[in-house]
Amino acid sequence: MKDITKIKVQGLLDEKWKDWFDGLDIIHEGKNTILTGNIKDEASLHGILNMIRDLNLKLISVTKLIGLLVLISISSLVSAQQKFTVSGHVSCAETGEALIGSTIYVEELQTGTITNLYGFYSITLPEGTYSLLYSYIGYQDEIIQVDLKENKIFNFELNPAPIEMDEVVIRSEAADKNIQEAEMSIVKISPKNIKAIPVIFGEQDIIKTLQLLPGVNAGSEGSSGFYVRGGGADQNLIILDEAPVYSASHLLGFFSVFNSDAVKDLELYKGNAPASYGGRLSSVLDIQMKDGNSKRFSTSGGIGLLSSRLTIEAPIVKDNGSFIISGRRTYADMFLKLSSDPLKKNTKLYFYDLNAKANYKLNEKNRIFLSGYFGNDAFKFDDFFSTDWGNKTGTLRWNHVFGNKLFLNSSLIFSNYEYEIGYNVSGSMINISSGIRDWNLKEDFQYFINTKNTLKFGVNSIYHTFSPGEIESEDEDYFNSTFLSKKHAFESAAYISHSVDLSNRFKMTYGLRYSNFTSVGPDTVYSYNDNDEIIDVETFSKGEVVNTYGILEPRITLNFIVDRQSSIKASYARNAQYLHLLSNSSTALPTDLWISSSKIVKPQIADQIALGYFRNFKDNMFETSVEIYYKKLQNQIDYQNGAEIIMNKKVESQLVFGDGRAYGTELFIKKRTGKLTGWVGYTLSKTERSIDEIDDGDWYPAKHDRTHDISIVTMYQLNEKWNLSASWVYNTGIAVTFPSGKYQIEGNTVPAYTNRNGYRMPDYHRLDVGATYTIKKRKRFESSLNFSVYNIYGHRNPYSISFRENENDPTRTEAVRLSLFQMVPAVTYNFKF
Amino acid sequence: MKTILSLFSFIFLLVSCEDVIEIDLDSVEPKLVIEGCINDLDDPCTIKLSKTGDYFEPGIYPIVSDALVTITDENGIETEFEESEPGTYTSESLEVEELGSYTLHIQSEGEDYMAEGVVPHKVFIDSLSYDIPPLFYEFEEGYMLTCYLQDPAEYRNYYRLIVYKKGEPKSSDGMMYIFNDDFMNGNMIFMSWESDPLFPQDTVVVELQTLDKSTYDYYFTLNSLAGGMFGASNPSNPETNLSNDALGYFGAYTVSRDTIVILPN
Repeated sequence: MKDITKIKVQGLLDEKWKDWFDGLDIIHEGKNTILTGNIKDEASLHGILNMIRDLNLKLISVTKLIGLLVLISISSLVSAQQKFTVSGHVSCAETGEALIGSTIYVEELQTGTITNLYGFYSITLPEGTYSLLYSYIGYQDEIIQVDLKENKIFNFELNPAPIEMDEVVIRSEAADKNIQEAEMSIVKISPKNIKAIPVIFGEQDIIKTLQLLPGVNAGSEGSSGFYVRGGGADQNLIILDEAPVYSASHLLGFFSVFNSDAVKDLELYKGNAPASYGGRLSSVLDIQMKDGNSKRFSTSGGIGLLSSRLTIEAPIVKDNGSFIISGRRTYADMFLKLSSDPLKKNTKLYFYDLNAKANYKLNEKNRIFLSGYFGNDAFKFDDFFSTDWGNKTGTLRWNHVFGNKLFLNSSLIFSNYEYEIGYNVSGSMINISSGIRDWNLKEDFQYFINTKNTLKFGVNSIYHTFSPGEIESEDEDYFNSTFLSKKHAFESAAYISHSVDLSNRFKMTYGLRYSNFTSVGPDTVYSYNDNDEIIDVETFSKGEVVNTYGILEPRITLNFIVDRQSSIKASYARNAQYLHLLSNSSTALPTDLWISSSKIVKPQIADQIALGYFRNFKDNMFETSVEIYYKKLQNQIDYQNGAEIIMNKKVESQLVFGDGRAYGTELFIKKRTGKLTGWVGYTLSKTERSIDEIDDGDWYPAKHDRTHDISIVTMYQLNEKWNLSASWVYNTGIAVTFPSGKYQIEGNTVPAYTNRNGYRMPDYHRLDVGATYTIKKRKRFESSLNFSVYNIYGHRNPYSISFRENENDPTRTEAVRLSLFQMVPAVTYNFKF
Repeated sequence: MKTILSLFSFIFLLVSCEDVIEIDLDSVEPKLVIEGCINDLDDPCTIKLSKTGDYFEPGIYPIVSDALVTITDENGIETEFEESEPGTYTSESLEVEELGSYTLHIQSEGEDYMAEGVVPHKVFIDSLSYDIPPLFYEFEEGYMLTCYLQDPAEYRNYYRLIVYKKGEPKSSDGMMYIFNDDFMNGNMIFMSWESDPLFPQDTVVVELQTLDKSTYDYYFTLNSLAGGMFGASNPSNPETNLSNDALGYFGAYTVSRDTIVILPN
């Protein structure tokens, strides 16, 4: 055997020991020593390892630069000792909130684990004495000594780090997580870290913050819609405590439905989520609600120009259970009430959100969580018109730990989205309603095999009920009530995902997800000819299978750690999407319709490969990354000209299908610590579609294609009282279809269009600034004032550009820019006690 | 849908502003524009031919002369149209029958263009009325006219309403007043004219057109794709029954006309 073997031991071993170790080279690496060279055979390796044991040296690793088999035989040889497991939960000492993604690091072995979404960890080590370092960003580290002779449970509470003005230095192993973990194209945000970023109307919004990151584009001005790496707004899976949220925006998209007071953590996977997630093509946004303070009663809230928020948290049984209720409501319509105009007076315009959650620890092995979200938008214009739409979600979860290595989360999830529009048509009301409802059962296992291997597997089945539309008319003589029959489908999946450290430098997560979509009766299925006329009708009885699709979705992420500061990562993922959002407008309207896959509408499929280089500088003070991606999309949906979506039983005949592709590069530089923090993100990308019915199948830019996208976000802690912030965004204008020519029909000027999305809106840019003044900060009471100005230099970014005849001279035509939001100041008062 | 949009736009007015801007648009190769309709009235049928101009060129629409324009009915009888004035082709002799199908054929500058239209079943105006409009209408004084018709249940119908004061030209808003019987099949349908207020002593002509589907689709997509405040998500040329990439349409419709005099109350 001419292979090189590397043996790493703790402590510094002098050169003179060389002869004792069969002439292996002795190299020092930090506080450790590496013995390296050619070892003749297993017997001499055995001898060397015995020598190490006899000298009472702590063995860290044995690496052989040959196949795995040898490696495993060595490690089994080395670890003939028994193994034990340390497990438990990590939480915040002040509030009792579970800390997601906190690190447990074994100093002796230079290895570790992180807590899962419920704050649970499990780490299995050979018998011995260890120092375990518990750490989490923004918290003080804790170290404990463990003499591991049996399985142990340690529930750990970490104290928040005091913020000192001169040095916000939070030493933490987690600081280089971006280098160490085998996951890429991921964004993690904790709302408390983004509080200072200025936002429109002073309404703190996690989705608006996501839009400032590379690879994530905002929708139109002020919108809380987002596009990830060229994917559509409906290709984002948004889950709140495991429950999918179908319509994530309020009030034409200006606000997201997520009240950041109630949000603990969020993760955004840009297209290569682990196999445990599925159902959407371009991203997964996983949002976890706070559990509620299990130590004491606490309240927080804010009063803003447009809305107010209030959150109440309290223990149910101290340290064993807690609840949180968080509400938000806008009150723009209250001002309208003051109006003397009876029309305005009778106008309603508001939305509210209510988040509620309770958790209870039955014992060390069992916890239950019940959480719910209720949100509603209402708009009523006297008796003439009204809309009402909203989401309701509910999740019941049960955490159970089998032994101390196998973690199970069972979830029963309910999710409902519906809208209703009322019109007054010549004196009588017509109500149009539509929606989607899910029942979802999920079993997710996490098996912490040892420090190098973690296995995740699970199953999940969703029962969807689609209500495509219903019209109720008060006056049947004039307007007929109509009912489009409901559709039903099962969306099921099974997955397995394995995270493995192949060596200290090479980590891998790979997995496979099988998803299945089965539509069941009762149903009536139409077939169409080229003129969209029905040529065949098939009916299915209750429970009968209408059609079924099954797709295998492989996922893999590789991480090669170059050194402590840098790593190279690569990933591939396939995602399938069985639900499709039909939207006929550029604005987020409640009437956008979710439809299911069928014989005509095939599941959408995306394959994405990504490659990235990650490097940290100055003791992890700076984080930088470059990622490139290429994504291929199949069965993308577009509309025929003049497609009718609302209340159309033939809606499928209005759709056209084709392919998409998206590619680009993302640069990211982040300063994590110090008085000045923030980041710069830049994305260079291209997103295109090709659909036979549009421009003869030529590739055309998708609407949300942005060539350049730059965001600069800075936060500066001026002194104890003042925290300043600014963000600047710039992007290439969206792709639009403008007329090239014109002609006349019946005396009207009609625009003549050539290519789909052949033009660009002018480039978009704006600067927002903010300042937070802390009025009082004591242990129990905290209050602050937040000032912000959105678009401070008043750039007129076009929301839309329309074309019309000049009023004075109808022979002339002109382009009209509609812009929103120039210099919008806002002030918000926030408190917490 | 339009109503939702225009009402939502009310929110926008609080924070939005509009201005005219300069934009560079490409110059296009002029395309043939065909504007032709046949109906069951006794008036001569006309077909107008012109070409597109660049979008920001002021009102230049070159007319197309010397084209060969014919309409053939389902029995193969061909009627040739004569260029009565430059770009306008007329026939006094074409007989248009209810439920008849007609094929338009145009030869111009070496290219052929075809379209087919079917004259729909005729629906008559049942009655007319006028009333004070509700609060939120565009005009606050005067009356709003409503036209009633009995929709026949056995057909899928497409309508267009045109209202104008006697002696005055037809309003170009007329393209907005199109509707179908999708949710009102077999009912007494009424449609109000919201564009212009009517005042006592006005003599008002009301024209109810029953359109064929392709004409309706043309008007409908023209309205919905032409833009508006929020902009159609994907503006494009309206759906047409014309071949060879021509713009415009060839329509067929029937007309029921009535007159009403507004009386002071």
